Amino acid sequence: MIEAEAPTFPLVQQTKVAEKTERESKVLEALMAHQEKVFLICLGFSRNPADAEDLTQEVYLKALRNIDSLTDLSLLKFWLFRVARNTCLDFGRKRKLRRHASLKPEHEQHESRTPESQLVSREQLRSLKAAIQQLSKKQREAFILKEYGDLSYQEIAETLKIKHGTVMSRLNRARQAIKNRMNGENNEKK
Amino acid sequence: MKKNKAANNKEVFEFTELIQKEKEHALMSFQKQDFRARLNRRIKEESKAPAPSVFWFRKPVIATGMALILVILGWIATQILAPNPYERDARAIKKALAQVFDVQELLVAQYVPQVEPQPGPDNLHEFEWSLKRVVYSAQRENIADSDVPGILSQVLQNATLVKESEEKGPEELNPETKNGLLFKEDNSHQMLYKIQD
Repeated sequence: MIEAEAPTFPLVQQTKVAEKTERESKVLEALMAHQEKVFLICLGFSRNPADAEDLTQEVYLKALRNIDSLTDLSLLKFWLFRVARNTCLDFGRKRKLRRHASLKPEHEQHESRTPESQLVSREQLRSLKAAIQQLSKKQREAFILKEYGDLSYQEIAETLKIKHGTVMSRLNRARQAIKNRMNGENNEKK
Repeated sequence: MKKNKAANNKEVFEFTELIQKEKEHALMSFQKQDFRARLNRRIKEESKAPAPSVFWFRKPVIATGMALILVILGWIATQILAPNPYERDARAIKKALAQVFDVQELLVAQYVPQVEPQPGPDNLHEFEWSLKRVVYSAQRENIADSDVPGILSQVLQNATLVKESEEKGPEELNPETKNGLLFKEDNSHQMLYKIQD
């Protein structure tokens, strides 16, 4: 009977590399399953499909770079949404700075890049986006995760690390605020 | 109340619908592009990111710059913290004086007082010198050999007198020896001059 040879160093290395690659590809697949939701969340924050796509790429790059910090893969979805939220908030801050530097109103900067205005009323959409922007940061992120990301209350609570009830109250206030602002704008026009 | 709620719901539905339309339109364009392929391309680009084109942002330049700054800061610090020449001199003087005082203290500690000559053994010594003085004087003055025994006998006589006086005590000293001349110094060699005269 021939005895099996003890595993040599390169073999162990190869096994480890294979395991790592296997895990990475598994994680990547799991991440890619949420790409549309991530894109929509980015759309909610950026208010522009082109920026949203760039941001989605950025989110995935960040996630792949920091994937080792995630120990529990069952929380991957919420972790990814959190990365998306943080990346978008960073982007918003940078854009605010750029806007201050260029001194151009936001709607002028993006007007030429909004093909969706061909389908829906441009004015309505613009006032809606302005109303979302005027929300407080906490209300805005809850609203975007719900309305753009289509996340459940529980998913929002997990992503933002807040209570279920808090999510509900924030969403309620956000909707109320948006409705009031849009109504106010409509009344002004009349 | 019900009317109010219905109106409220209608308004919420309106903007939800607006958002829905926006999402659908954006998703259409997103799905047209192969997101995964674009992401892979971006990952590849990032993994082989070239060195910064701006010279001053290159790592070796930054490291060298930092080292230079540190050296300059160190030099400035030594210039600021180093004492001025007056302080340096004062410190050197203080140090030298401290050493001098230390040595002085050491010398004082090591000082051994000179022992006063004792009468007994010194008289023997004096006798020896008396003989030597006689011999040297005889050589210097070219006196006749016949005179030397007479002078030496005088020296011997003096020495005998001294010894006797020591044995008797200071009260019974010979009046000739009381002036101390014979005790301290033997003048027998002066007899040579007397003989010559």
